[in-house]
Amino acid sequence: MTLVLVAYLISLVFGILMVVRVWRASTLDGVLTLLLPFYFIVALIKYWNDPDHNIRFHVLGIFICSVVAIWSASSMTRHAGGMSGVGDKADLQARSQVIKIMREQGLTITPEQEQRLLSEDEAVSDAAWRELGVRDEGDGSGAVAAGAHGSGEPSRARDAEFDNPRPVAAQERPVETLSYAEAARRAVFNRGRWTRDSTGFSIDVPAKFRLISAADARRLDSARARPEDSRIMAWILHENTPLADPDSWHVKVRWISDGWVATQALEPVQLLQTALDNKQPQPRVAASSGDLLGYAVAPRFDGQVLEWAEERVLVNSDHQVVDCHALRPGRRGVLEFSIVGMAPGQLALCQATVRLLADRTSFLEGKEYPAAPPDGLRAPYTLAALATHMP
Amino acid sequence: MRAVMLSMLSLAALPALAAGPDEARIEQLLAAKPEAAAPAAKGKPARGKAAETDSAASLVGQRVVVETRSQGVYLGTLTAVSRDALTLAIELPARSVSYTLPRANVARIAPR
Repeated sequence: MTLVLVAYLISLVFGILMVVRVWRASTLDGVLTLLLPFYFIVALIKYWNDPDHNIRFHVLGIFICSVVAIWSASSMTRHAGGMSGVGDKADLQARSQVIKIMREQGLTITPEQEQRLLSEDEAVSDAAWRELGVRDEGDGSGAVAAGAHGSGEPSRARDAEFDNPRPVAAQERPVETLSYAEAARRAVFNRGRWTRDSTGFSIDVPAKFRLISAADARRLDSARARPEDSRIMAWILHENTPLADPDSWHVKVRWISDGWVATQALEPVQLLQTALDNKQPQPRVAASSGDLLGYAVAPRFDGQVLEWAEERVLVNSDHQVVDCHALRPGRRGVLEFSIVGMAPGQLALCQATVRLLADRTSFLEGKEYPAAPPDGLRAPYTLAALATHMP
Repeated sequence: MRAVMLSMLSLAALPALAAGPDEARIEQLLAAKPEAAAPAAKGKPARGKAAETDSAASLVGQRVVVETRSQGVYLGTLTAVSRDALTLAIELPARSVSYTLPRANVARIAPR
């Protein structure tokens, strides 16, 4: 990578010097060399024998740098591509990685299943992968793709989260206990587009934000002795909020995989009355441990995003906080963006952030939210119940 | 050469071009100091509030719906009205809390 960059920079310097040299001979040739990609060939021939303006050395330099850059880039590609199929050890590592990713995406894999998936006996391993509905594409890239349910059934698209809506029990996924600082140090920041094929959504993480995976988020929660959130998919942080500070705010990304959720007209006052009358709330969204005071932003659904903010007073305290939510319903569940425990004075920031992330989310083809109930799993509640925490 | 330079310039400018108004607003909100959550500061009252204060005062003791300028909704019993703040008694499952809303943020108050 460094070699490619260095070669590119040197060729850039040669290019600039070449234009300057031609420019000194003729302004027109200089401009044309700058603007037209291959005009330098004309200048090369024209000033071949001119000791003050020939660009033989510069063109040679650019050529050498280009060769070095191409060679380096191709060797990098070969190295990256050579990860799969080079031996049993590499294959085992690749399979372990796939299992880890599947767990992060909410698939239940028992230790017995994992043992069979990692088995050196190819027949056992293949059967185990088929059971999970995952088959090897066989292209040497180590890619996995959704496949048939069983050997006897015709191949059809399959959604891992849909087939495994049950939250994964905590004991099945032991989490390493670390100090918070160590967990924060180990977290890997992701940028750009973040896609989860099995659940069928993609988040275009804004330029100033960073995403950390569910595994890292669980480690951080575990380090603070917080209960494990089985629905967590990721955390998203602004680049100016340090992860190492345990009190810094972040957006929780959660997948509520209960199926298609019906909508109904949202009447804010009625919803608030329902929420206040509900003495035993059962929040499905992330919420602060406190009592609801009111809606700092009343629930509203524009056909794509359900958003609202709750003002809460913490248990055994008069301290008030706001919890902001923006939910993006899909065909088989609801993708949630929540910030909990924010200071009421930061309501605007809180709500704008979750809304931005919900707007930056798209469902993959066939996973979008249909207005009419689709075939398959349906949630036993409506979108309004998510805002009122009704059972 | 020019094409290479243009592409490099475009790449450098990409983040600025890609940042939409929502992202810019978040940056502004991050840079700004958090708003005071407490009731509006005492002192000079806002103009034109007198009539509003009077109408709100007539609702003291009643159960009311308060809508805020930030599109919020609160329900409770109006216990006190001043030029700067409204105070609601809100019943929680285990206790009752006195919640103060700055008048400047109140868009509408109506009996429930």
